[in-house]
Amino acid sequence: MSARVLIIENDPDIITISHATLTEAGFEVDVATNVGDALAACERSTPDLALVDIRLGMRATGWEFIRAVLKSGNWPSMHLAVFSVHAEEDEYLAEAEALGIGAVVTKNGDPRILLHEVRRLLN
Amino acid sequence: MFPLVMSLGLVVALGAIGLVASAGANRTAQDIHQADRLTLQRTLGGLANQYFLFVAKDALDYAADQRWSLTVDDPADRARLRTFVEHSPVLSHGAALVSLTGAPLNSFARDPGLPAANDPGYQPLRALLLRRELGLSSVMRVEGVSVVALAVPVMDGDTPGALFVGFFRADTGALQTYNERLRYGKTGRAYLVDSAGGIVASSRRAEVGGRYDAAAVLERLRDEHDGFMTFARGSVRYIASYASVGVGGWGAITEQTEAEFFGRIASGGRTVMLALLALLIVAAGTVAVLNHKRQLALRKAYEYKGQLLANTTHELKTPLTAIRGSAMTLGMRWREMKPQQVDQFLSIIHRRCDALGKLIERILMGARLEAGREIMIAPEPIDVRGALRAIAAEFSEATTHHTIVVDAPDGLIVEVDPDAMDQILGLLVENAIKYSPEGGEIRIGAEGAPDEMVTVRVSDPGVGISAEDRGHVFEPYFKGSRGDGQHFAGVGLGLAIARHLVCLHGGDIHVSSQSGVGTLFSFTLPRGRAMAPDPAVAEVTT
Repeated sequence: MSARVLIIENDPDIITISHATLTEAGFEVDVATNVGDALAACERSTPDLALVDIRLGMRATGWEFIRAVLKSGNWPSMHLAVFSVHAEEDEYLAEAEALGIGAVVTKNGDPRILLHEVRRLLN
Repeated sequence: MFPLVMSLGLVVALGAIGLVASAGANRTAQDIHQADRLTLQRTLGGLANQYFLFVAKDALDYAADQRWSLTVDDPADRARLRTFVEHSPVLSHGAALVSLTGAPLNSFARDPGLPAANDPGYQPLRALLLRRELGLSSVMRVEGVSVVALAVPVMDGDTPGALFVGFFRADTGALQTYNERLRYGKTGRAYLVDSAGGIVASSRRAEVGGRYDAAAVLERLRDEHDGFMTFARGSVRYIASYASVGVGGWGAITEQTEAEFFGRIASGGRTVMLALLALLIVAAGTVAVLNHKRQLALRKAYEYKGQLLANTTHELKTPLTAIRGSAMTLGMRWREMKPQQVDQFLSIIHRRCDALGKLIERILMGARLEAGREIMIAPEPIDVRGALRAIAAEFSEATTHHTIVVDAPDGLIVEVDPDAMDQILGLLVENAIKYSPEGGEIRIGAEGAPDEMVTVRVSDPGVGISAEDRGHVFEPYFKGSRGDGQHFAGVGLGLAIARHLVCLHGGDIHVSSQSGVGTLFSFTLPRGRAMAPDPAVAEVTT
């Protein structure tokens, strides 16, 4: 059975590219563009990995999704990874570390890097 | 830090200049005060001089008027002496006739009588007479009473035949009364001293007949006609002004403690110094506060620039990520892809390249606005409805989550630069989409009565803008607050550019909004003349 990845992202083009890359590599891929949809997706089918963009526009941020997941304790097996163009920045690293998430995936558009990181996190 | 040190240094330097100036003013005030006292002292010396001349003239005139027998104990001479004493305004203690050799001839005196002929107090009188000067004795004591003798010649034809000596009491005389009335603060004293330093008159009566104890002052009085000096009596510093009376080697002295004499000036100086010190502290405090504020402003500016860079970077990175992702996906997999998939990724590249170009153009325009450089426009008549429909179509392609509704009458023409119109509408619609929830309806419309400016409106059902932020939304690089300490994404230039472009056309732009309900942007543009029908279009439609 293939691993399930939830992409939480509000940029439709990034969704298209990431979805195509991961689907082609054999992953089951769910997509959510906001925190509410992301939590609903988790309820429907627990992902093995959630790639969480931080700047989701409007009022919510990806940090809120991560906090909600950690607080609920409903999905202990789900891996969480920050997925952002700023992932390597100190501010993001510090926040991720504070929340107990060691994984950050830099969103630079390279499908090979995305695949490599997703496989590494799932293994 | 350096400007703070410089500013404080400047303040300290100014304060020091102020203090030096104050000290200078203090010295000047002391000099004036000292000169005033010396002038007063000269006046006192002059008055005493006039007094003795008056007394001597009175005695001389009386002596010249009488037919003295000049024989020892002559009753007639004694009667004349008595008459003189009883009527003299000054020499009212006694009078005597003395031969040129010094032998007593006759005398009359009130109690307790006259000093003995061998009293050393007479010595100055004799010395003066020998020099043919007005004869004045030192103050002498007769049974506790202080008396002073004044001698004038009794002329026998053109030559002196004897001496007429008049006596006055020092302790109750006019000079003493006058001196007692002189007031110089709490510590001031006035003295009239004879040539030997005996106190002839004093502001304290008990001292009359005693010795003036400040030898330094007496010495200066002998050497100089008048002057001002300081001296110490025990541990206390005094000032003394002195002036020669001009007769008999006598002098007038006024002394006072230095603390009291210069006290008011010194305390004035202290007040000035304290005022300057307070000024210094206030100025230094102000400089420190201003510098602190400046540094805070600088720090804020640095943080702001950092945030600006982060925002700009994010806005640039996002389309680049999409472009790179699409290009690499195509590069790796285009052979296996269906044509529709290839088109989809090519479309992403095309669209995001356009967006990137616009973003860069916006950043450059923001820089031009900030630098105050002029932006050229070429207004022409534009059909508003057409422009609104075009922008709605453009954005409808980009968003599948929002509906864009156009509501504008036909034939509404504005005079506007077409690129500027595209930019203004694009920026407002982009914002409306960005801050509206999925499924939200964006409404763009226009209206305008004849002869009025045309008003264009863009409204959204989005998150709204807080009252605090509304006043700033048109400022370059301003980022609205999300209400959780974070700011919305974006560079923060769109509305600033929109306003600038609207203003360039002579219009105005406004915002009304309610948090959680939505926002309405409206701007005005000058009405344009109706366009002539395009012949080509007319041909097609007929």
